[in-house]
Amino acid sequence: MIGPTLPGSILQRKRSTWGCWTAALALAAGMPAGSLAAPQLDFLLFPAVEWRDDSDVKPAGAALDDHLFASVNLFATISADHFQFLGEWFFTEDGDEIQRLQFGWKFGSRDTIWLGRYHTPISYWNSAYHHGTYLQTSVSRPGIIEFEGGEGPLPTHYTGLLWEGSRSLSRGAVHYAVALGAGPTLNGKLDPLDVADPEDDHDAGLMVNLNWRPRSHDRNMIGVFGAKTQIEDEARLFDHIDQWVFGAYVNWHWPHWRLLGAWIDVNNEIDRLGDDDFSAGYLQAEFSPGEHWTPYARYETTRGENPDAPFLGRLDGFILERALAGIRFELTSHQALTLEISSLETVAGESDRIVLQWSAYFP
Amino acid sequence: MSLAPWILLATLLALPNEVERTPDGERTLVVVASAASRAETLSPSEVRLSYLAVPVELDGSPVRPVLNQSDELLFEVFLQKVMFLSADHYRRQLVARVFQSGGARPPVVRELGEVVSMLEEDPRRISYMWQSDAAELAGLKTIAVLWHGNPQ
Repeated sequence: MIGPTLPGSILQRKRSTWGCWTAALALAAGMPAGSLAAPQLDFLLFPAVEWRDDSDVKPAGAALDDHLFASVNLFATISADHFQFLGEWFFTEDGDEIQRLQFGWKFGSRDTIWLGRYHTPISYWNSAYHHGTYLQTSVSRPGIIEFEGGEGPLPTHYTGLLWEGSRSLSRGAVHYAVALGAGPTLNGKLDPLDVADPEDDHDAGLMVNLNWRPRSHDRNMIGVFGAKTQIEDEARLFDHIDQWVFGAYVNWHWPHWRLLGAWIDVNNEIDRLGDDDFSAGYLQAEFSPGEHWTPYARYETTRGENPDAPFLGRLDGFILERALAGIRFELTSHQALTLEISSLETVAGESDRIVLQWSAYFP
Repeated sequence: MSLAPWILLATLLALPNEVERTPDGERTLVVVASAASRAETLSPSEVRLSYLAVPVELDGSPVRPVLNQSDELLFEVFLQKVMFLSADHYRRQLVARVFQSGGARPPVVRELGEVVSMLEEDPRRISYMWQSDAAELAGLKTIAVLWHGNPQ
């Protein structure tokens, strides 16, 4: 089975326990207890190991021997009628972090309200891949949507409410997401709220994402998004940043080709110090002539940036410009090997990089 | 001891599957549910979405698809004619969808009898099989015809 299975006796015990919970929940919701079905569980493991070598700028983060990086992402989901749970826990040799912890309530036929920590609906890449490394074709993420805690300049997690849904149109469908929650603080790097050890200095943010697809739940989409997040500076060089972000993105597949890209405009209003604005974008093309090999290339650029500005100047590793090419080989139906070569310019300097990555998912 | 009687017996047991086919080899792929299910019908696109872990409701209840892999040809036809995907691409899209939005991948069942048991156990479950098999199995009802043709 590719889905999870449970031995009969355990399954019966779980059902018995579930029966008590569903009865309580059903009573609380004013529904007959029998109307709730047994939950469906799923579990996924995303391990990845990469060897990386940089010509000049040394890679950020912990390393096994300065070149070798390993990570495991644990993902679990439970769904039962209107209730949904989603959890994701990311481990590296340097530490671990609860990436997502969401409790959802489905209403109508196409809407879900989530409560908890979630991936922000910023652009396409963030919620589609995140730490599910195997799922993305390339080894690296575009610099503009790099993770918080790394060198990313945008909030990739909120903790609060998320409303997701879709509506059919006369032609195609529109999908939407509205996020309202506590965003990151600035602590050398952007530091999202840790649900395992929450602090009270995280200010609120609001984000809206809207995309059109030719058919409901199609992979092809074009979309726009906007966000306003207040980011407190823990170093107290200033009080806070009002960060406004607007962008557009595309993810489109043809029989052998795929194109994904985004353009994002960032306006940081910093109290007493003025503005720190820039725009950044990327375009990635992938070619899949068959089932096994996928060559790809990506170009990223940034415009209007000031490396000495009070916000961007503190993100040394933020990638201002990068040209890369890579090739992914499907080792098995669950494992891939990817080689990526890039030339990049960060706030700190220039470098060439070569990366070989093994990624997989189980079961 | 001669193996001939056993070979003859095995051949005879295998025969019914062959004679179920129409003379020109055409077969029909249908969606089935328990006879106790309140489900009346599903469109092919709803079936496709449900097998990609997108919530699809029928009579106010989410349907729970079961992947029937009891017959290699049946699974291949289902992937090609209903999902329009290869097995690897189907698995990857399913994992991507569950990772992004939650839900669960459909359980995979490799015995036809187990498919029937799972459908009878939960009237919200659906699966697919050859129409000839569905007609012979008690306790099931057909809720959609997905495809008809010669699978060779």
